[in-house]
Amino acid sequence: MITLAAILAGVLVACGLYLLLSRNLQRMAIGFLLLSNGVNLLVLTAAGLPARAAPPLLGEGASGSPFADPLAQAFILTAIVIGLGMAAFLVALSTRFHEVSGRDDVEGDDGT
Amino acid sequence: MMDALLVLIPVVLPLVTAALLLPLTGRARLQQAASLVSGGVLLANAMLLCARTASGAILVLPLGNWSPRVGIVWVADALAATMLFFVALVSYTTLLYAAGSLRGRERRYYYPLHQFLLVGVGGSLLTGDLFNLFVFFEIMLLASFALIALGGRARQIRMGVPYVIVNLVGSALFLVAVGAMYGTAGTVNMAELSVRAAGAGLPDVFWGAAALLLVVFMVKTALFPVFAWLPDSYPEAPVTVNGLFAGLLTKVGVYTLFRTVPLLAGAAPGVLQPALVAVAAATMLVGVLGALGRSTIRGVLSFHIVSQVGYMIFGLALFTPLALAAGLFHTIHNMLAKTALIFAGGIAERIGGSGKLYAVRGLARTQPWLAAGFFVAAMSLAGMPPLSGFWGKWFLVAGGLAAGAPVATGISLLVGLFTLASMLKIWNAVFWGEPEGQRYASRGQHRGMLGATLALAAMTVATGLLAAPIFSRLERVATQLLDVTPYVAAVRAAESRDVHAEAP
Repeated sequence: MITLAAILAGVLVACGLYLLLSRNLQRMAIGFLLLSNGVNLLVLTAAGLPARAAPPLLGEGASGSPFADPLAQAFILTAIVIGLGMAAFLVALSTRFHEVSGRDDVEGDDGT
Repeated sequence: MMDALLVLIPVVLPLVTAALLLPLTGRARLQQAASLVSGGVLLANAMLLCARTASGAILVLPLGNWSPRVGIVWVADALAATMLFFVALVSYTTLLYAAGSLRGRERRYYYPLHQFLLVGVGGSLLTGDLFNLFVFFEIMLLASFALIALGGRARQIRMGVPYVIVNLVGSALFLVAVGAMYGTAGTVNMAELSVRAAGAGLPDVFWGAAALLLVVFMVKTALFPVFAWLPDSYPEAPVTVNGLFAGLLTKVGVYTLFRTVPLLAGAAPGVLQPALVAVAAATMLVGVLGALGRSTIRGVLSFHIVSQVGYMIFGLALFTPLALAAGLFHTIHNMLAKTALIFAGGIAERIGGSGKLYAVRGLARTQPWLAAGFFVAAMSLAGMPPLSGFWGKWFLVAGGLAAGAPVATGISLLVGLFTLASMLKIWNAVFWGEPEGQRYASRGQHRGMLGATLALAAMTVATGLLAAPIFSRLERVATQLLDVTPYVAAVRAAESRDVHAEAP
């Protein structure tokens, strides 16, 4: 399970980085979404994925069976919200850039 | 209770202010007045915090009554308090400058975004765990993204995109490092991590994550070789934003390095020390040479930020109290002097209607106060006695020689000469000679803009004159940083204490 999740995280990060290297702002936004999801998955995996673990919603008495790490899930929940904000900003940026320049690709340095 | 308030205000107050400012969009004067009131409270709070921590006390506030190992703790020690004070000072002068400098579209959203940026900066300074450092970095970044593209011009967006993308990738790597550290050490609390790092038995993955964290902070601080996002994007931002970023953003990166490197690697720096010294020396040199090659006022000044960051990290890299204190002194000096320079450059830019060197000339004759403000800050940056920059370099050279790093110390002196050359380049182009190209001379008379510039320049003089008491305080801060035991003990003690029992 861990190997599978690690490979999936790697693929997501690789695709995300590839898209981020583009000059097209919309591709960058999609790339960022892939990258942040890959990283979130990685954090979840790094905290361990015990087999047949119960969700961390148990009462006081229910001990004995392994349960998933709630802290890692809290980390990711926060990171997802932040990722949403960043993605929204990137989309807004690309809309504005299209408005003022009529294009969607940011050319490199114009020499000044 | 009082202590808890002191620690909470630097984050909660800007957040509340930002929320209150949003409905006032379009009423810039009211927004500025409210921001100044809030900024004044922030400044007073930072002073109280400085006084409270001066004797070496460390205030710890565990939120939600969780154990610090898994919960959220806020920690205010002498370093955080000192940084908060200068952050509040730079922020206040920036608010004074903003009214005259912002134009049209920029004026609508600047003030709330300024407050959101302060939330991020305050949180980054006070948090006691790495994950919340990530969260507050993101708050700071999101505000800075919006600020850098505030004018909404095509060129501004185009030059801002590398800043956005590099920092987004940096943040993703930050989260990877935090996740891997949590997976291997079982905590992200900095004090607990410090204990675990000092003991043996952590897997290699942990140290890989720590190295990744170092790289991330290097990106945020704009150190060689990962500084390229800074020099192109900063000069494109509005002047006020440029000044605010120069004073606060990279300095928060410097702070995180000063905070985390001694905690994680202080016991046995090993190969890290020569590596950091080399990075610092390269940063100083590349930054100043890059600055010499730029052709706009704020282009030179912004590239110069990179060079100055090198000095601060040089102090850290030596791992002695003297050098660390020198690095901190340089940080403080730079927050004041660099912001003053960018503000003065911004006024010159308004008068000439262009930021290009030689577009406007002879300002020393027509705008003597502006020229004086620029001159003082420039000489301070170049390290002329008795200004603050001289003492920063003096302590750093003393620390460097005492710690046995003569080559890097020599480079720092050489870079000082180049700094002088790049400051003279601006002085000759813009302030010296016969008045020329001063198309909008009346714009240079704005009281808030000129006042903020001169106030910052006066503060670099004051910092220079008060160098001895300030430095002795910073030496205590540095000793506290290098000896991590009190910090760790203070955070761990919070575990056994009931939060509600804190009230007297």
